[in-house]
Amino acid sequence: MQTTESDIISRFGLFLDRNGFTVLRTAVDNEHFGNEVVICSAPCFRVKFVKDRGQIFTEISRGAREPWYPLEDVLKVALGSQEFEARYAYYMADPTSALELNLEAVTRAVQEKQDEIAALGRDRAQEVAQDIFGRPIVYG
Amino acid sequence: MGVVVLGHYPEYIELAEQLRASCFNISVEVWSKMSHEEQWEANRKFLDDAISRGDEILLATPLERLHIGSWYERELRYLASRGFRPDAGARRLVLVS
Repeated sequence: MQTTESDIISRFGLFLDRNGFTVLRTAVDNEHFGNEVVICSAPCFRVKFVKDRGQIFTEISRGAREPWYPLEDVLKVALGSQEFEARYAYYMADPTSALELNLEAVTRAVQEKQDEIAALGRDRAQEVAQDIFGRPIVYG
Repeated sequence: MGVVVLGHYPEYIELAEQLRASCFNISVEVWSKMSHEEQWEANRKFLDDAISRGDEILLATPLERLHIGSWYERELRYLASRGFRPDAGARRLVLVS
């Protein structure tokens, strides 16, 4: 993996500066699609931007060596299902705005409701499995 | 027969390297010049080749962290259409006749 100019930093640099995020790691992988990972820290959580085959995804973690969760799961817990669903399209199209507009709520959710976020991920996995494969996941 | 790894970046690359398995890969120079349709055609051909060889298909990223609308989701939907289903724990896909 080689580090060269980051498309993610180019796109989100102003957002990161404006909100006091510190870039901890930047990796650009030109041998694999130009994929990228950028990990940043805020005072109370970490955010990871992943560019995967040209698509950019955002994940949130409480801190080092803690699990990562999709931003949409964190927002759903932070805002409540009804408010999140009402703004889903906007937030998914512009994840940095979603974060910036809801920094306090996201911080509280990550710090205080991690179990709820993890449970939401498990529920969503079952929905995805049912939708794609026509049956839920069977665990051990 | 080999092993193919699917998932989100960077997990699928890391697991493929760890297992010396195959994963779909194109350099940024080539990928960035392809249309969306050409990109999917290349991705689909990689999956078809894996199916033809009877490769084992591993999922490096659990479905809990699947991003909706991603290439990974499209790969899973395609494999589902070809008769593949997750095994117990959903860390590999198996062909169900």
